[in-house]
Amino acid sequence: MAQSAKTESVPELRELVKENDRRVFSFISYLVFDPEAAEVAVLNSFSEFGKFYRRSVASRRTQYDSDQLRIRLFQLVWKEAKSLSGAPVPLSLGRDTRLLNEATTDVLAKSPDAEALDERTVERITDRVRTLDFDFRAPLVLRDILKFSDEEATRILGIRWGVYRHRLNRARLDLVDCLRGRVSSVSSLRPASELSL
Amino acid sequence: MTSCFFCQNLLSDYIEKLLPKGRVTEIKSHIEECVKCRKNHDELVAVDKLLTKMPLKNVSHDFALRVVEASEGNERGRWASWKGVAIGASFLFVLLMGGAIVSFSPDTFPWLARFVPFATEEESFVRYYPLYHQAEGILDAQASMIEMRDAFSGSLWEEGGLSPEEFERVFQLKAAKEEEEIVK
Repeated sequence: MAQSAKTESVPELRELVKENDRRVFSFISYLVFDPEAAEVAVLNSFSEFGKFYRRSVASRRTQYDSDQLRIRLFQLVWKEAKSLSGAPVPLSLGRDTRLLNEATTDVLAKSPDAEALDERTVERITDRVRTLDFDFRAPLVLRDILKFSDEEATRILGIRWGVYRHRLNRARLDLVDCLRGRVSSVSSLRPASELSL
Repeated sequence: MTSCFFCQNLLSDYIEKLLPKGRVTEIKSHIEECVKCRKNHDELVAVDKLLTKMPLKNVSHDFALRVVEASEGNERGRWASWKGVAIGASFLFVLLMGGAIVSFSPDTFPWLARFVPFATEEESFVRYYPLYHQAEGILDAQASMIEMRDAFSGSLWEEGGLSPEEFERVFQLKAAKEEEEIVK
């Protein structure tokens, strides 16, 4: 009797996956630029999450609610994304140093009052978010785009509150510059082949 | 007196009302005075608004199915399967290389070389008597000497070796025999 009650309180794996697949995919797409690598990272993360879920259900020692499981899922995603940072160039983590299209366009001036963003603006903002530093981008995406709370974001990233708040603030300030078209630090970067040494 | 640097570091906390009252008053008065920080503040608010409107990425139906399968353990990521193949191949490579090293150069891992069977009698002899390696001439001479010695008396080992006189006699006999053969 007690066992069945316990099993019922644990959310179904399939439901959890369906609720979170878009968010996970969005998170990974901001971190990993190569779409193929992003898909593989998502699949690997969900595979790991499935194992964790089955283990936790089998052990019956600790009981997780859906929020805790969601945090665990994003912890695995973050781990997967970080593990890709050691991979060679095609996975292109870190900053996206490709030249921005219309780098000097002021995206911020046009859009804040609009009800919904058009596709072009979303694309521009995504490109500019990607120019932020890898470690600074993650808190911004989690907090402002995926709408996690501060506590959840710190748990996912495994960093302390002060570090998290600092990174979030810096990321926002950098993004402001980037959206305003004042992206001297990033847009001035040129591919190595074009540099005259 | 709050500096612009200090103010900028706390702007997000100020907007989200995470600061204590005293600090809020400081930042507020600084923002009212400083044009640059006021502008930064307004822009941060605008960016926050903008980011909340960012939609989530869409996932195709096929990919969503693959995600469900991956979570249920039916599918491993392509990278994971390649990883398995790569690990298997590297293990095989190490095994083959190890075998080759042990076979071609038994001195590198002598303890491991014991387990490898040798093809010829000569090779196994060298393995068990490494100090006799390339001493075949000396060994042959000794063996023939022992043979000749045995014809005249008991075992060499029982007697503890040849005396100088016996040695001379045996080899003189051998030399005489050879001369006779040459004469014939």
